[in-house]
Amino acid sequence: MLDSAIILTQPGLMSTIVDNGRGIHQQRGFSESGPMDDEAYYWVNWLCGNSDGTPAIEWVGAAEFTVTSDMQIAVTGPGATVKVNDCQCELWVTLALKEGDVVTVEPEKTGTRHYLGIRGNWRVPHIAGSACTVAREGLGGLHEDGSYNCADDTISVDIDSALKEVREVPGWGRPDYLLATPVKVIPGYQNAWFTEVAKQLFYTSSYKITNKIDRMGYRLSGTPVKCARSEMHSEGITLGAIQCPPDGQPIVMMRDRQTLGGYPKLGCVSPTDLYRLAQRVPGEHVTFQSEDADNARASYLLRASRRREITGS
Amino acid sequence: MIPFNTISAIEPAGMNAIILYFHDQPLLEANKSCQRWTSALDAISPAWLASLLPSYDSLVISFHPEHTDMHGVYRYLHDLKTSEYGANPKGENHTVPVWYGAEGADDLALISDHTGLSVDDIIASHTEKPYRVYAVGFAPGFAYLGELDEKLSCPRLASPRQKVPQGAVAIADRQTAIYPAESPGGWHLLGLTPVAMFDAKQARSRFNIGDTVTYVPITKSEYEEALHAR
Repeated sequence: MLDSAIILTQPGLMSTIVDNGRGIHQQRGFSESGPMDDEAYYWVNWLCGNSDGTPAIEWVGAAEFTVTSDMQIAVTGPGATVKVNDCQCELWVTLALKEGDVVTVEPEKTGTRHYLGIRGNWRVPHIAGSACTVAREGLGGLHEDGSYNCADDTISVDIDSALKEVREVPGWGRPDYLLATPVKVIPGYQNAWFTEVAKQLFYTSSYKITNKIDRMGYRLSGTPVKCARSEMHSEGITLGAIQCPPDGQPIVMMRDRQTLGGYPKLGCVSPTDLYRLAQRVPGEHVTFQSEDADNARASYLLRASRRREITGS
Repeated sequence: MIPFNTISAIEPAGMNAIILYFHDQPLLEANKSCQRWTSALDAISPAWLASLLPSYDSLVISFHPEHTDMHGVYRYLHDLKTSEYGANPKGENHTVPVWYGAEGADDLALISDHTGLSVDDIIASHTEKPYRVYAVGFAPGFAYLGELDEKLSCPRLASPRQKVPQGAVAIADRQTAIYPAESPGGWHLLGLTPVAMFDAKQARSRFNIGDTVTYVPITKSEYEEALHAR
Protein backbone atom coordinates (compact mmCIF):
# COMPACT_ATOMS: atom_id res chain seq x y z
CA MET A 1 0.00 0.00 0.00
CA LEU A 2 1.37 3.39 -1.00
CA ASP A 3 1.02 6.49 1.10
CA SER A 4 -0.04 9.14 -1.32
CA ALA A 5 -1.16 12.69 -0.95
CA ILE A 6 -2.35 15.62 -2.99
CA ILE A 7 -1.44 19.16 -1.94
CA LEU A 8 -3.98 21.89 -2.64
CA THR A 9 -1.38 24.45 -3.70
CA GLN A 10 -4.22 26.73 -4.87
CA PRO A 11 -7.53 25.40 -3.54
CA GLY A 12 -9.77 27.73 -5.57
CA LEU A 13 -12.71 29.63 -4.08
CA MET A 14 -15.24 28.04 -1.71
CA SER A 15 -13.26 24.81 -1.94
CA THR A 16 -15.07 22.06 -0.01
CA ILE A 17 -15.07 18.31 0.50
CA VAL A 18 -18.23 16.67 -0.84
CA ASP A 19 -19.69 13.16 -0.73
CA ASN A 20 -23.24 11.80 -0.61
CA GLY A 21 -24.02 13.91 2.46
CA ARG A 22 -25.98 13.55 5.67
CA GLY A 23 -29.46 12.81 4.29
CA ILE A 24 -30.61 10.51 7.07
CA HIS A 25 -29.37 12.86 9.81
CA GLN A 26 -31.54 15.79 8.68
CA GLN A 27 -33.97 14.64 11.35
CA ARG A 28 -31.42 15.88 13.92
CA GLY A 29 -31.03 19.22 12.15
CA PHE A 30 -27.97 18.44 10.00
CA SER A 31 -27.97 19.88 6.48
CA GLU A 32 -28.30 17.30 3.74
CA SER A 33 -25.13 18.70 2.06
CA GLY A 34 -23.49 16.91 -0.91
CA PRO A 35 -22.35 17.97 -4.39
CA MET A 36 -24.06 20.93 -6.07
CA ASP A 37 -23.48 19.23 -9.45
CA ASP A 38 -24.28 15.58 -8.72
CA GLU A 39 -23.57 14.54 -12.34
CA ALA A 40 -19.97 15.82 -12.26
CA TYR A 41 -19.52 14.28 -8.80
CA TYR A 42 -20.84 10.87 -9.84
CA TRP A 43 -18.58 10.68 -12.89
CA VAL A 44 -15.42 11.96 -11.22
CA ASN A 45 -15.46 8.96 -8.89
CA TRP A 46 -16.26 6.47 -11.66
CA LEU A 47 -13.31 7.86 -13.66
CA CYS A 48 -11.08 7.12 -10.65
CA GLY A 49 -12.54 3.65 -10.14
CA ASN A 50 -13.87 4.71 -6.73
CA SER A 51 -17.16 3.55 -5.33
CA ASP A 52 -20.03 6.05 -5.39
CA GLY A 53 -19.93 8.12 -2.20
CA THR A 54 -16.13 8.50 -2.10
CA PRO A 55 -15.26 12.13 -1.27
CA ALA A 56 -14.21 14.63 -3.94
CA ILE A 57 -13.21 18.29 -3.94
CA GLU A 58 -15.69 20.90 -5.20
CA TRP A 59 -14.50 24.43 -5.91
CA VAL A 60 -15.08 27.59 -7.95
CA GLY A 61 -12.46 29.37 -10.07
CA ALA A 62 -8.88 28.47 -10.89
CA ALA A 63 -7.09 25.82 -8.83
CA GLU A 64 -3.74 24.03 -8.65
CA PHE A 65 -2.85 20.66 -7.13
CA THR A 66 0.50 18.90 -6.64
CA VAL A 67 0.83 15.14 -6.07
CA THR A 68 3.45 13.52 -3.83
CA SER A 69 3.44 10.13 -5.59
CA ASP A 70 2.13 8.35 -8.68
CA MET A 71 -1.66 8.50 -8.59
CA GLN A 72 -4.79 8.63 -10.73
CA ILE A 73 -7.16 11.56 -10.66
CA ALA A 74 -9.94 13.10 -12.78
CA VAL A 75 -11.50 16.51 -13.23
CA THR A 76 -15.15 17.06 -14.22
CA GLY A 77 -17.49 20.00 -14.62
CA PRO A 78 -18.30 22.54 -17.35
CA GLY A 79 -15.68 23.76 -19.86
CA ALA A 80 -12.20 24.36 -18.45
CA THR A 81 -8.56 24.15 -19.43
CA VAL A 82 -6.80 21.34 -17.56
CA LYS A 83 -3.03 21.10 -17.63
CA VAL A 84 -0.55 18.65 -16.15
CA ASN A 85 2.87 20.37 -15.98
CA ASP A 86 1.80 22.74 -18.79
CA CYS A 87 0.64 19.89 -21.06
CA GLN A 88 -3.00 20.27 -21.95
CA CYS A 89 -5.25 17.41 -20.80
CA GLU A 90 -8.95 16.60 -20.90
CA LEU A 91 -11.83 16.73 -18.48
CA TRP A 92 -14.00 13.58 -18.17
CA VAL A 93 -11.03 11.16 -18.48
CA THR A 94 -8.77 9.34 -16.01
CA LEU A 95 -5.44 11.18 -15.64
CA ALA A 96 -2.40 9.15 -14.55
CA LEU A 97 0.04 11.39 -12.69
CA LYS A 98 3.68 10.95 -11.66
CA GLU A 99 5.20 12.04 -8.38
CA GLY A 100 5.62 15.82 -8.32
CA ASP A 101 3.18 16.52 -11.17
CA VAL A 102 1.29 19.80 -10.98
CA VAL A 103 -2.33 19.98 -12.20
CA THR A 104 -3.99 23.29 -12.98
CA VAL A 105 -7.64 23.90 -13.80
CA GLU A 106 -8.75 27.18 -15.39
CA PRO A 107 -12.52 27.41 -15.95
CA GLU A 108 -13.77 29.03 -19.16
CA LYS A 109 -16.49 30.88 -17.28
CA THR A 110 -16.20 32.60 -13.89
CA GLY A 111 -18.39 31.03 -11.22
CA THR A 112 -18.82 27.44 -12.39
CA ARG A 113 -18.10 24.52 -10.06
CA HIS A 114 -15.50 21.85 -10.74
CA TYR A 115 -14.72 18.50 -9.16
CA LEU A 116 -11.48 16.67 -8.50
CA GLY A 117 -11.53 12.94 -7.80
CA ILE A 118 -8.57 10.93 -6.51
CA ARG A 119 -8.31 7.15 -6.73
CA GLY A 120 -8.10 5.54 -3.31
CA ASN A 121 -9.55 5.63 0.17
CA TRP A 122 -9.57 9.20 1.42
CA ARG A 123 -8.17 9.72 4.90
CA VAL A 124 -10.38 12.65 5.83
CA PRO A 125 -12.45 13.31 8.96
CA HIS A 126 -16.08 12.21 8.98
CA ILE A 127 -18.88 13.83 10.99
CA ALA A 128 -22.36 12.32 11.08
CA GLY A 129 -21.39 9.78 8.46
CA SER A 130 -20.06 12.27 5.93
CA ALA A 131 -16.90 14.21 5.07
CA CYS A 132 -18.87 17.19 3.67
CA THR A 133 -17.77 20.72 4.58
CA VAL A 134 -20.78 22.80 5.65
CA ALA A 135 -19.70 26.41 6.12
CA ARG A 136 -23.11 27.50 7.41
CA GLU A 137 -23.00 24.94 10.24
CA GLY A 138 -19.30 25.38 11.01
CA LEU A 139 -19.06 21.62 10.70
CA GLY A 140 -17.19 19.02 8.64
CA GLY A 141 -14.45 19.28 6.04
CA LEU A 142 -10.68 18.94 6.34
CA HIS A 143 -10.57 21.19 9.42
CA GLU A 144 -13.79 19.72 10.92
CA ASP A 145 -15.11 23.24 11.53
CA GLY A 146 -16.82 23.93 8.22
CA SER A 147 -14.00 26.16 6.98
CA TYR A 148 -13.06 25.97 3.30
CA ASN A 149 -10.00 24.06 2.14
CA CYS A 150 -7.04 26.43 2.30
CA ALA A 151 -3.74 26.77 0.45
CA ASP A 152 -1.34 23.89 1.09
CA ASP A 153 -3.95 21.68 2.77
CA THR A 154 -3.06 18.06 2.10
CA ILE A 155 -5.35 15.11 1.44
CA SER A 156 -3.88 11.64 2.01
CA VAL A 157 -5.29 8.58 0.32
CA ASP A 158 -4.59 4.86 0.65
CA ILE A 159 -4.23 3.26 -2.76
CA ASP A 160 -4.72 -0.51 -2.78
CA SER A 161 -4.01 -0.81 -6.49
CA ALA A 162 -3.91 1.39 -9.58
CA LEU A 163 -6.85 1.41 -11.97
CA LYS A 164 -5.83 -0.84 -14.89
CA GLU A 165 -7.55 1.11 -17.65
CA VAL A 166 -7.99 4.76 -18.60
CA ARG A 167 -11.68 5.59 -18.37
CA GLU A 168 -13.56 8.22 -20.33
CA VAL A 169 -17.14 9.41 -20.18
CA PRO A 170 -18.31 9.39 -23.83
CA GLY A 171 -19.70 12.64 -25.20
CA TRP A 172 -23.30 11.37 -25.16
CA GLY A 173 -23.03 10.46 -21.48
CA ARG A 174 -21.70 13.81 -20.27
CA PRO A 175 -24.10 16.26 -18.63
CA ASP A 176 -25.52 18.96 -20.85
CA TYR A 177 -24.75 22.26 -19.17
CA LEU A 178 -26.78 24.38 -21.58
CA LEU A 179 -29.98 25.97 -20.35
CA ALA A 180 -31.64 25.70 -23.75
CA THR A 181 -34.57 23.80 -22.23
CA PRO A 182 -36.52 24.89 -19.14
CA VAL A 183 -35.70 23.46 -15.73
CA LYS A 184 -38.41 20.99 -14.65
CA VAL A 185 -40.42 21.69 -11.49
CA ILE A 186 -42.62 19.22 -9.63
CA PRO A 187 -45.55 21.21 -8.13
CA GLY A 188 -46.15 20.47 -4.47
CA TYR A 189 -46.15 21.81 -0.91
CA GLN A 190 -48.26 25.05 -0.90
CA ASN A 191 -48.82 24.97 -4.68
CA ALA A 192 -52.57 25.36 -4.13
CA TRP A 193 -52.02 28.63 -2.23
CA PHE A 194 -50.77 30.35 -5.40
CA THR A 195 -53.32 31.72 -7.86
CA GLU A 196 -53.47 30.33 -11.41
CA VAL A 197 -52.27 33.72 -12.63
CA ALA A 198 -49.25 33.67 -10.30
CA LYS A 199 -48.32 30.16 -11.48
CA GLN A 200 -48.81 31.10 -15.16
CA LEU A 201 -46.46 34.05 -14.64
CA PHE A 202 -43.86 31.86 -12.95
CA TYR A 203 -43.85 29.24 -15.70
CA THR A 204 -43.77 31.77 -18.56
CA SER A 205 -41.23 34.25 -17.15
CA SER A 206 -37.47 34.21 -17.35
CA TYR A 207 -35.63 34.61 -14.04
CA LYS A 208 -32.20 36.10 -13.58
CA ILE A 209 -29.64 34.42 -11.34
CA THR A 210 -28.67 37.08 -8.77
CA ASN A 211 -25.29 37.32 -7.03
CA LYS A 212 -26.95 35.98 -3.86
CA ILE A 213 -26.23 32.36 -4.65
CA ASP A 214 -24.41 29.85 -2.50
CA ARG A 215 -24.55 26.21 -1.46
CA MET A 216 -27.59 27.00 0.70
CA GLY A 217 -29.84 28.61 -1.90
CA TYR A 218 -30.09 30.45 -5.23
CA ARG A 219 -31.98 33.73 -5.16
CA LEU A 220 -33.60 34.60 -8.47
CA SER A 221 -35.02 37.89 -9.65
CA GLY A 222 -37.86 38.52 -12.06
CA THR A 223 -41.65 38.60 -12.12
CA PRO A 224 -42.72 38.32 -8.45
CA VAL A 225 -44.59 35.14 -7.49
CA LYS A 226 -46.92 36.35 -4.78
CA CYS A 227 -48.62 34.00 -2.39
CA ALA A 228 -51.94 35.08 -0.89
CA ARG A 229 -51.19 33.36 2.44
CA SER A 230 -48.04 33.41 4.48
CA GLU A 231 -48.85 32.20 7.99
CA MET A 232 -47.61 28.66 8.43
CA HIS A 233 -45.53 26.57 10.78
CA SER A 234 -41.98 25.72 9.77
CA GLU A 235 -41.83 22.46 7.82
CA GLY A 236 -39.25 20.18 6.20
CA ILE A 237 -37.53 21.60 3.11
CA THR A 238 -36.44 19.13 0.43
CA LEU A 239 -33.72 19.57 -2.21
CA GLY A 240 -34.63 22.05 -4.94
CA ALA A 241 -37.68 23.46 -3.09
CA ILE A 242 -38.75 26.84 -4.51
CA GLN A 243 -39.53 29.24 -1.65
CA CYS A 244 -41.49 32.40 -2.31
CA PRO A 245 -40.92 34.94 0.49
CA PRO A 246 -43.23 37.97 0.80
CA ASP A 247 -41.33 39.95 -1.88
CA GLY A 248 -42.19 37.17 -4.38
CA GLN A 249 -38.59 36.66 -5.57
CA PRO A 250 -38.06 32.89 -5.64
CA ILE A 251 -35.25 31.14 -3.78
CA VAL A 252 -34.28 27.63 -4.88
CA MET A 253 -33.05 25.68 -1.87
CA MET A 254 -29.80 23.83 -2.49
CA ARG A 255 -27.57 21.26 -0.72
CA ASP A 256 -26.63 23.19 2.44
CA ARG A 257 -30.17 24.49 3.10
CA GLN A 258 -31.54 24.49 6.64
CA THR A 259 -33.79 21.48 7.31
CA LEU A 260 -36.91 23.46 8.36
CA GLY A 261 -38.36 26.73 7.11
CA GLY A 262 -41.58 28.68 7.03
CA TYR A 263 -41.94 30.28 3.57
CA PRO A 264 -44.60 29.02 1.13
CA LYS A 265 -43.19 26.77 -1.60
CA LEU A 266 -44.44 26.26 -5.17
CA GLY A 267 -42.78 22.90 -5.63
CA CYS A 268 -39.31 21.51 -6.23
CA VAL A 269 -36.82 21.48 -9.08
CA SER A 270 -36.46 17.94 -10.46
CA PRO A 271 -33.26 16.32 -9.11
CA THR A 272 -32.13 15.44 -12.66
CA ASP A 273 -32.24 19.15 -13.60
CA LEU A 274 -30.76 20.66 -10.46
CA TYR A 275 -27.13 20.40 -11.63
CA ARG A 276 -27.91 22.68 -14.58
CA LEU A 277 -29.21 25.35 -12.23
CA ALA A 278 -26.26 24.82 -9.84
CA GLN A 279 -23.83 25.55 -12.69
CA ARG A 280 -25.49 28.86 -13.64
CA VAL A 281 -23.66 32.05 -12.73
CA PRO A 282 -24.99 35.51 -11.75
CA GLY A 283 -26.56 37.38 -14.65
CA GLU A 284 -27.65 34.26 -16.54
CA HIS A 285 -31.32 33.40 -16.97
CA VAL A 286 -33.45 30.36 -16.27
CA THR A 287 -37.01 29.33 -17.16
CA PHE A 288 -39.19 26.68 -15.56
CA GLN A 289 -41.67 24.08 -16.73
CA SER A 290 -43.96 21.99 -14.57
CA GLU A 291 -43.71 18.21 -14.65
CA ASP A 292 -45.54 15.59 -12.61
CA ALA A 293 -43.62 13.47 -10.12
CA ASP A 294 -44.05 10.22 -12.10
CA ASN A 295 -42.44 11.72 -15.19
CA ALA A 296 -39.65 13.20 -13.08
CA ARG A 297 -39.02 9.78 -11.56
CA ALA A 298 -38.99 8.19 -15.05
CA SER A 299 -36.28 10.70 -16.08
CA TYR A 300 -34.30 9.78 -12.98
CA LEU A 301 -34.52 6.03 -13.70
CA LEU A 302 -33.64 6.63 -17.36
CA ARG A 303 -30.55 8.53 -16.27
CA ALA A 304 -29.57 5.60 -14.04
CA SER A 305 -29.90 3.14 -16.92
CA ARG A 306 -27.86 5.41 -19.24
CA ARG A 307 -25.16 5.49 -16.58
CA ARG A 308 -25.17 1.68 -16.41
CA GLU A 309 -24.68 1.49 -20.19
CA ILE A 310 -21.40 3.35 -19.71
CA THR A 311 -20.22 1.87 -16.44
CA GLY A 312 -21.33 -1.67 -17.31
CA SER A 313 -22.47 -2.30 -13.74
CA MET B 1 -53.61 11.05 -2.67
CA ILE B 2 -56.62 11.04 -0.38
CA PRO B 3 -55.78 11.79 3.26
CA PHE B 4 -56.75 9.27 5.95
CA ASN B 5 -56.80 8.96 9.74
CA THR B 6 -55.47 12.15 11.34
CA ILE B 7 -53.73 13.27 8.12
CA SER B 8 -55.43 16.37 6.68
CA ALA B 9 -53.56 16.55 3.37
CA ILE B 10 -50.75 14.85 1.43
CA GLU B 11 -48.70 16.80 -1.12
CA PRO B 12 -45.63 16.03 -3.22
CA ALA B 13 -42.39 17.51 -1.84
CA GLY B 14 -40.25 16.90 -4.93
CA MET B 15 -39.69 13.88 -7.20
CA ASN B 16 -38.93 11.55 -4.28
CA ALA B 17 -40.76 12.90 -1.23
CA ILE B 18 -44.23 13.56 0.13
CA ILE B 19 -45.34 15.79 2.98
CA LEU B 20 -48.12 14.77 5.37
CA TYR B 21 -50.07 17.58 7.05
CA PHE B 22 -52.02 17.27 10.30
CA HIS B 23 -53.88 20.58 10.15
CA ASP B 24 -57.25 19.33 11.38
CA GLN B 25 -56.00 18.81 14.94
CA PRO B 26 -54.92 21.24 17.68
CA LEU B 27 -51.15 21.85 17.51
CA LEU B 28 -50.24 19.52 20.38
CA GLU B 29 -52.27 16.63 18.90
CA ALA B 30 -50.90 17.35 15.41
CA ASN B 31 -47.36 17.23 16.79
CA LYS B 32 -48.10 13.90 18.51
CA SER B 33 -49.30 12.51 15.16
CA CYS B 34 -45.98 13.59 13.57
CA GLN B 35 -44.10 11.92 16.39
CA ARG B 36 -46.12 8.71 16.03
CA TRP B 37 -45.50 8.39 12.28
CA THR B 38 -41.84 9.35 12.67
CA SER B 39 -41.12 6.83 15.40
CA ALA B 40 -42.99 4.04 13.58
CA LEU B 41 -41.08 4.63 10.33
CA ASP B 42 -37.82 5.03 12.26
CA ALA B 43 -38.41 1.70 14.01
CA ILE B 44 -39.32 -0.23 10.84
CA SER B 45 -36.77 1.60 8.67
CA PRO B 46 -38.14 0.26 5.35
CA ALA B 47 -35.55 -0.15 2.56
CA TRP B 48 -37.16 2.64 0.50
CA LEU B 49 -36.86 5.24 3.28
CA ALA B 50 -34.29 8.02 2.58
CA SER B 51 -35.09 10.60 5.28
CA LEU B 52 -37.73 11.94 7.66
CA LEU B 53 -38.29 15.61 8.45
CA PRO B 54 -40.89 15.97 11.21
CA SER B 55 -41.95 19.46 12.29
CA TYR B 56 -44.79 21.13 14.20
CA ASP B 57 -47.73 19.81 12.21
CA SER B 58 -46.17 18.15 9.16
CA LEU B 59 -43.85 15.30 8.21
CA VAL B 60 -41.72 15.05 5.06
CA ILE B 61 -41.00 11.45 4.01
CA SER B 62 -38.27 11.07 1.35
CA PHE B 63 -37.75 7.77 -0.49
CA HIS B 64 -35.21 6.15 -2.78
CA PRO B 65 -36.72 6.37 -6.27
CA GLU B 66 -35.08 3.07 -7.30
CA HIS B 67 -37.19 1.30 -4.67
CA THR B 68 -40.63 2.82 -4.96
CA ASP B 69 -42.68 5.83 -6.04
CA MET B 70 -45.16 8.17 -4.33
CA HIS B 71 -48.05 5.78 -4.82
CA GLY B 72 -46.03 2.95 -3.29
CA VAL B 73 -45.22 5.08 -0.23
CA TYR B 74 -48.86 6.14 0.04
CA ARG B 75 -50.00 2.52 -0.04
CA TYR B 76 -47.36 1.56 2.51
CA LEU B 77 -48.49 4.29 4.93
CA HIS B 78 -52.14 3.42 4.38
CA ASP B 79 -51.51 -0.22 5.30
CA LEU B 80 -49.21 0.59 8.20
CA LYS B 81 -50.67 0.20 11.65
CA THR B 82 -48.64 2.84 13.46
CA SER B 83 -50.26 1.71 16.71
CA GLU B 84 -48.23 -1.51 16.58
CA TYR B 85 -45.07 0.55 16.89
CA GLY B 86 -45.97 2.39 20.07
CA ALA B 87 -49.27 4.25 19.92
CA ASN B 88 -47.96 7.14 21.94
CA PRO B 89 -44.18 6.98 22.00
CA LYS B 90 -42.91 8.43 25.27
CA GLY B 91 -40.37 11.16 24.87
CA GLU B 92 -37.47 11.57 27.28
CA ASN B 93 -37.61 14.11 30.11
CA HIS B 94 -34.62 16.43 30.35
CA THR B 95 -33.51 18.94 32.95
CA VAL B 96 -31.46 21.83 31.63
CA PRO B 97 -29.52 24.05 34.05
CA VAL B 98 -29.40 27.73 33.08
CA TRP B 99 -27.26 30.58 34.36
CA TYR B 100 -29.85 33.33 33.89
CA GLY B 101 -28.45 36.76 33.05
CA ALA B 102 -25.09 35.32 31.97
CA GLU B 103 -22.60 37.79 30.52
CA GLY B 104 -22.94 37.98 26.74
CA ALA B 105 -26.40 36.36 26.78
CA ASP B 106 -28.49 38.75 28.83
CA ASP B 107 -31.57 40.42 27.37
CA LEU B 108 -33.45 40.24 30.69
CA ALA B 109 -33.80 44.05 30.84
CA LEU B 110 -35.19 44.16 27.27
CA ILE B 111 -37.62 41.33 28.05
CA SER B 112 -38.64 43.13 31.21
CA ASP B 113 -39.43 46.26 29.14
CA HIS B 114 -41.51 44.19 26.69
CA THR B 115 -43.46 42.13 29.17
CA GLY B 116 -43.60 44.37 32.23
CA LEU B 117 -42.35 41.43 34.32
CA SER B 118 -39.53 41.74 36.84
CA VAL B 119 -36.36 39.69 36.20
CA ASP B 120 -37.35 37.30 39.00
CA ASP B 121 -40.82 36.84 37.48
CA ILE B 122 -39.30 36.15 34.05
CA ILE B 123 -37.07 33.41 35.51
CA ALA B 124 -39.93 32.01 37.61
CA SER B 125 -42.20 31.83 34.56
CA HIS B 126 -39.54 30.28 32.32
CA THR B 127 -38.78 27.53 34.87
CA GLU B 128 -42.30 26.83 36.09
CA LYS B 129 -43.27 24.02 33.67
CA PRO B 130 -41.83 21.43 31.29
CA TYR B 131 -41.80 22.34 27.59
CA ARG B 132 -42.42 19.98 24.70
CA VAL B 133 -39.93 19.58 21.82
CA TYR B 134 -42.10 20.41 18.80
CA ALA B 135 -39.36 20.21 16.20
CA VAL B 136 -35.60 19.81 15.76
CA GLY B 137 -34.07 21.62 12.82
CA PHE B 138 -32.73 24.82 11.30
CA ALA B 139 -29.28 23.85 12.66
CA PRO B 140 -27.88 20.58 14.10
CA GLY B 141 -29.48 19.98 17.51
CA PHE B 142 -31.60 23.16 17.46
CA ALA B 143 -34.87 22.27 19.24
CA TYR B 144 -38.04 24.36 19.15
CA LEU B 145 -39.70 24.09 22.60
CA GLY B 146 -43.16 25.28 23.51
CA GLU B 147 -45.28 26.78 24.59
CA LEU B 148 -44.21 29.69 26.77
CA ASP B 149 -46.72 31.34 29.05
CA GLU B 150 -48.50 34.08 27.10
CA LYS B 151 -47.18 36.75 29.49
CA LEU B 152 -43.56 35.89 28.58
CA SER B 153 -44.18 36.16 24.82
CA CYS B 154 -41.64 38.47 23.13
CA PRO B 155 -41.22 39.38 19.45
CA ARG B 156 -37.92 38.71 17.65
CA LEU B 157 -35.24 41.42 17.77
CA ALA B 158 -35.68 44.15 15.16
CA SER B 159 -32.31 43.24 13.72
CA PRO B 160 -30.73 39.83 14.39
CA ARG B 161 -27.40 39.58 16.24
CA GLN B 162 -24.37 38.54 14.22
CA LYS B 163 -23.21 36.27 17.03
CA VAL B 164 -25.23 34.42 19.63
CA PRO B 165 -22.96 32.34 21.90
CA GLN B 166 -23.11 28.55 22.09
CA GLY B 167 -25.51 27.38 24.79
CA ALA B 168 -27.58 30.59 24.80
CA VAL B 169 -31.13 30.01 26.08
CA ALA B 170 -33.55 32.14 24.12
CA ILE B 171 -37.21 33.01 23.63
CA ALA B 172 -39.32 34.27 20.71
CA ASP B 173 -43.11 34.50 20.55
CA ARG B 174 -44.27 31.48 22.56
CA GLN B 175 -41.19 29.38 21.84
CA THR B 176 -37.97 28.80 23.71
CA ALA B 177 -34.75 27.22 22.40
CA ILE B 178 -31.06 26.71 23.06
CA TYR B 179 -28.44 27.71 20.46
CA PRO B 180 -26.38 24.51 19.94
CA ALA B 181 -23.47 26.43 18.40
CA GLU B 182 -22.40 30.04 17.97
CA SER B 183 -24.52 31.49 15.18
CA PRO B 184 -26.46 34.59 14.11
CA GLY B 185 -29.88 34.83 15.74
CA GLY B 186 -32.83 37.08 16.37
CA TRP B 187 -34.27 35.73 19.62
CA HIS B 188 -34.12 37.38 23.05
CA LEU B 189 -31.52 35.77 25.32
CA LEU B 190 -32.10 34.69 28.92
CA GLY B 191 -28.76 33.13 29.81
CA LEU B 192 -26.41 30.23 29.17
CA THR B 193 -26.50 26.47 29.70
CA PRO B 194 -23.37 24.32 29.99
CA VAL B 195 -25.17 21.33 28.41
CA ALA B 196 -24.09 20.28 24.88
CA MET B 197 -27.04 20.12 22.49
CA PHE B 198 -25.60 17.71 19.96
CA ASP B 199 -22.80 15.30 19.37
CA ALA B 200 -21.51 15.91 15.87
CA LYS B 201 -19.35 12.78 15.69
CA GLN B 202 -22.24 10.48 16.62
CA ALA B 203 -24.81 12.61 14.77
CA ARG B 204 -26.93 12.70 17.91
CA SER B 205 -29.20 15.46 19.07
CA ARG B 206 -29.82 15.70 22.82
CA PHE B 207 -33.50 16.44 22.24
CA ASN B 208 -35.89 14.76 19.86
CA ILE B 209 -39.48 15.50 18.88
CA GLY B 210 -41.85 14.66 21.75
CA ASP B 211 -39.25 15.02 24.53
CA THR B 212 -39.90 17.39 27.44
CA VAL B 213 -37.45 19.90 28.87
CA THR B 214 -37.48 21.65 32.24
CA TYR B 215 -35.16 24.59 32.93
CA VAL B 216 -33.51 24.97 36.35
CA PRO B 217 -31.62 28.10 37.46
CA ILE B 218 -27.94 27.75 38.46
CA THR B 219 -25.27 30.21 39.58
CA LYS B 220 -22.29 31.42 37.60
CA SER B 221 -19.90 29.17 39.53
CA GLU B 222 -22.13 26.13 39.03
CA TYR B 223 -22.21 26.96 35.32
CA GLU B 224 -18.43 27.21 35.12
CA GLU B 225 -17.97 23.99 37.04
CA ALA B 226 -20.35 22.10 34.75
CA LEU B 227 -18.73 23.55 31.64
CA HIS B 228 -15.33 22.51 32.94
CA ALA B 229 -16.51 18.96 33.69
CA ARG B 230 -17.98 18.54 30.18
